[in-house]
Amino acid sequence: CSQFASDIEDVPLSTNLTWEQQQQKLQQLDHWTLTGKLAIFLENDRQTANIYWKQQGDNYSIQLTTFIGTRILQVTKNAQGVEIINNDDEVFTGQDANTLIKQLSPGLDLPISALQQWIKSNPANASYQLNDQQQVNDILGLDASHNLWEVSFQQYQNFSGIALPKRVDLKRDNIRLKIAINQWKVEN
Amino acid sequence: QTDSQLLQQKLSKFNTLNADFTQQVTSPDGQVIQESWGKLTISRPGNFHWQVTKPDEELIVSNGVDMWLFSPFIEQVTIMNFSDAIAGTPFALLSGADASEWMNFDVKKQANQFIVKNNKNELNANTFTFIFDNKDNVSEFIVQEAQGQKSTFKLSNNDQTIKLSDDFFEFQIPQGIEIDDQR
Repeated sequence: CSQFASDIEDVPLSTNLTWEQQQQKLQQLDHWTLTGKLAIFLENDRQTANIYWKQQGDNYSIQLTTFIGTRILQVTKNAQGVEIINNDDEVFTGQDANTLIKQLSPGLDLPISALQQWIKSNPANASYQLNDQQQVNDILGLDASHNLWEVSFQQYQNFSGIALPKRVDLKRDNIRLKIAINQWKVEN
Repeated sequence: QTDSQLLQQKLSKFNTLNADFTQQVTSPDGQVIQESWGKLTISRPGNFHWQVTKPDEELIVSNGVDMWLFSPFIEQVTIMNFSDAIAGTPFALLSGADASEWMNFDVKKQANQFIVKNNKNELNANTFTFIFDNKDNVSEFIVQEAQGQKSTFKLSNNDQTIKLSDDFFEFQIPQGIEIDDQR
């Protein structure tokens, strides 16, 4: 049977946790996997890719693939640092994913280190506003290269007891990122 | 008869294919990193309609000359030349490649499977596997990249009797959609 339950119905959120309780859960959640779709809107170019992100503590493995399943980019981080493999199987290593990605394709700006927390709707030390369900509505924060991003959350869904975002939008200058998350797998 | 001729013969037995597909992509270390469901319709030669319905909509249509890749997620349609777009992929063979296209592929038969490799000795050439069921229909095809990433397409409910509208393999660009013309 398929590993991901793909047709989960949108269960109305009954977990009326306070934000403090929710934030603590998000802070502790550091082993998860998400699958979804990423869109990048630049000034005169827009692209989309499937995204798979497996987070394990401070390490992660991110795969961007085409719709027929071939690799676009693989970004992995472990104790030694960050390694990026592109679609020609060329390997690049460095300390910060975003700077490395920008060297590879200047137009591409993916604030991955900050996204490790933001994508769960955990502001970490950025400023934020809550919606009336005690969930983060938007975040204003700096990424590893000190660029200011506006992050907004459209839709939440309950995954194994934690409310996690299904749609995340990021904006900075004339760059817009759109992430639609189909599935969260949470290991707590 | 070479394996290549046998595969060409098996593929040319059908001029329409109209099946549901499930697609599963596994990374080199075996993680399932992508799954999708939809409908694949082919009318040889060159007519191609690939509708992904889940997890979200994506559509590829070709009339054998132009190919439209429509992504509602980014409100854009990319237009390419059919030959450039799918040259060197299993879709070129599935949708009716001519003899000259087949020259670029080495084919090895193993039971009901045909392993196809592009012989233009590209560094990271992909390997394609076509699998036939006992009714001699294509039931599965696999795209395996050199580094081990694998995309498996399973076909089911193949209904070759379907009547297709004559503009089924054309794409009308909806209002307000960005056009990325790469021809």
